Order: sequence, then C-alpha cells, then structure tokens
Amino acid sequence: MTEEPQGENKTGIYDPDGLIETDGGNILEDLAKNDPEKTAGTFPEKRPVEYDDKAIVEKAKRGDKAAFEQLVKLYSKYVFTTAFFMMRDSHDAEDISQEVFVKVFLSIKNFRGLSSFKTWIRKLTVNTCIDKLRIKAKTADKKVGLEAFEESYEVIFPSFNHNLERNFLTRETLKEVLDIIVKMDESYRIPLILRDLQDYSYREISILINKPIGTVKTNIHRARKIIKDKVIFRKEKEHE
Amino acid sequence: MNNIDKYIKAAKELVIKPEKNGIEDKILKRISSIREEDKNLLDAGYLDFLKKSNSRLYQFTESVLNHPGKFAFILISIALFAGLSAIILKNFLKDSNRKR
Repeated sequence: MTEEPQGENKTGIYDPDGLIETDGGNILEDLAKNDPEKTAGTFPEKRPVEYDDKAIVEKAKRGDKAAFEQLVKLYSKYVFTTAFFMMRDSHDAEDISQEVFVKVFLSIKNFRGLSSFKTWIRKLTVNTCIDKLRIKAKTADKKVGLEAFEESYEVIFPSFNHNLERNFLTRETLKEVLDIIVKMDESYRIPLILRDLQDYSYREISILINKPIGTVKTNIHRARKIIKDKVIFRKEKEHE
Repeated sequence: MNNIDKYIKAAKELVIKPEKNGIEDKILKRISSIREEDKNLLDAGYLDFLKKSNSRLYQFTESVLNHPGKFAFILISIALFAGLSAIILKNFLKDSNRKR
C-alpha cells in the first residue's frame, strides 16, 4: 500500500485527474455552468454536491448518456472500493462494479430518488456483493481463498488528511487497520464493514447476512477487538 | 488505544485505487455493449430491492425499525409538546373567561 497524495476531494471519491476540487468549483458546477437550464439565473453560484448529483441523476433518467458517464466517473471508485473490501479481490470488485452500473443503467428510469443516489448505489453494491459471497461460499474452498489472498492495493487518502493529523491519527496506523480488516475472516469482516464502513444498522446486517442480531453484535465486537489487539501488539513490539 | 475506533470510522472515507486504474473505462465499455441477456441481471431480488427503495412506506418503516431510539424520542417530544400546548391553551382560555 502506498500513499497517494493526489485525488483528494470533499466527496470522498478518488479523482486522479483533479476534476473534483476540495474548495470552490468542481466538475459538477462546471457541468451546471454549461447547462442552459441553469444559466437562466435560477441556479445559485455555489451548490452543495447532493443538489448537483440530483441534477445529473435526473438527466441520466431522461436517457442522457453524458450524464450517465458523469455518474460512472463520480461513483465508480466508490463502488469498486466497497466491493473490494467485501470481496478482497480486485477482479471480483471490477466484475461487481460493472454489474452494478449495468443494473443502474437498465433501471435508473425507475429510481424515484427517495434516498440519495449514493445511498442507493451503495446498497445495490452491498447486495450484489452479498449475493456473490453466498455463491462463493457454496462453491469455493474458503481456506484456499484466504491463503491465496496476498493482494496488493493502493489506498487513496481523501479530504480528511488534515483532520487525521489534528486527531492524532496517522496514515500508517490507518493503513494497518485497513490491512487487518481486509485479511480478517469473512464472519467478522463483513459485519464490521457493513456496520463501521457502510453505516448499516445491526438489524439490517442481521437480515443481509442471515444471522441473529446477537451474533452480528458479537462478531463486530470481536472484530474490533482483533484490530485493537493487533495494533497494540505491533506498537508494543516497536517500543521493545 | 481508544483511537482504534476512530481509525475504523476514518477508514470509510478511503478509496482503493484499482490496479490498472481503468475501472471507469471498463464500466463505460461494458455499458456500451449491453445485450438483451443483460436484462437477466434485473432478477427478482433486484426488482424487490428497487420496489423497496421506491416505497416511502418501506423507507419510513425501515428508518423506524433501524433507529427505534430516535423514533421513540421524536414521539415523546411530540407528546410533550402537545401536552404543554394543551396546558397553555387551557390556562389561556381560563384567563380569558375570567376577564369576561
């Protein structure tokens, strides 16, 4: 894992071309500026990302391919990352990312927008991953899968860089925590990711992974303990 | 080591860089070559998900079930507010009757 200073933005989306900026304008605002509907003076100068996101989604719903491409640009890394953490395999994560966007493309007209597009695509990604994991669990040898996992991946640090230092969090420890999560057993990893990284409730996790709430809570507690123990052990070793 | 929880929370802001960094192109290429068979991806499970995500009643029920504490707090707040308003109104009516 290596540090990647570029691609930082407020949306938390990896942006290697610097299209999405931390402050001031971003690609969404540029889009809005070129939109005749918005140059009529009804659009405020600075809009929150969610608003613009809605505008792009509305265009995509009307069949605008360019708008859909923007959605792919905005959310492909987010979808990939979610899938990668759950599947621990970049090829699976790529396949899932493609499948998710094909589903979105085929059904975006029916998306009513009761939740944000990001929430919708996140839930769709998680559901697709859970389905794949169920299929894998039935067909693959879990031990072989775990031993074979030696994936190297790059982590991008988005906008909270400054907060990290302010809160005495270090990038190295964060990477270490991430590494422990990725290498964790599936029964601990999936509930932990869903709870702490995807903000699912215990009840939702219980329904998704088909386990009692008590088991979900216990596994999440144990997963957090595993991380703490490993990090503390490493730090103590460093001090010796 | 209480900071570990903060690290876990912070991890959700991170994104992984795909190996060849071409995930967008791959997705766009895949979308440009959608075939009839791809409609099979919209299976019963997906259609159920879509139906649920488009249902206000389902969304509301889910939010209540997922955050029962919040819902109880809102209900209690509303009940308190209504009770307080009723008391104030009652006193106001009493006062105005007395003045008459």
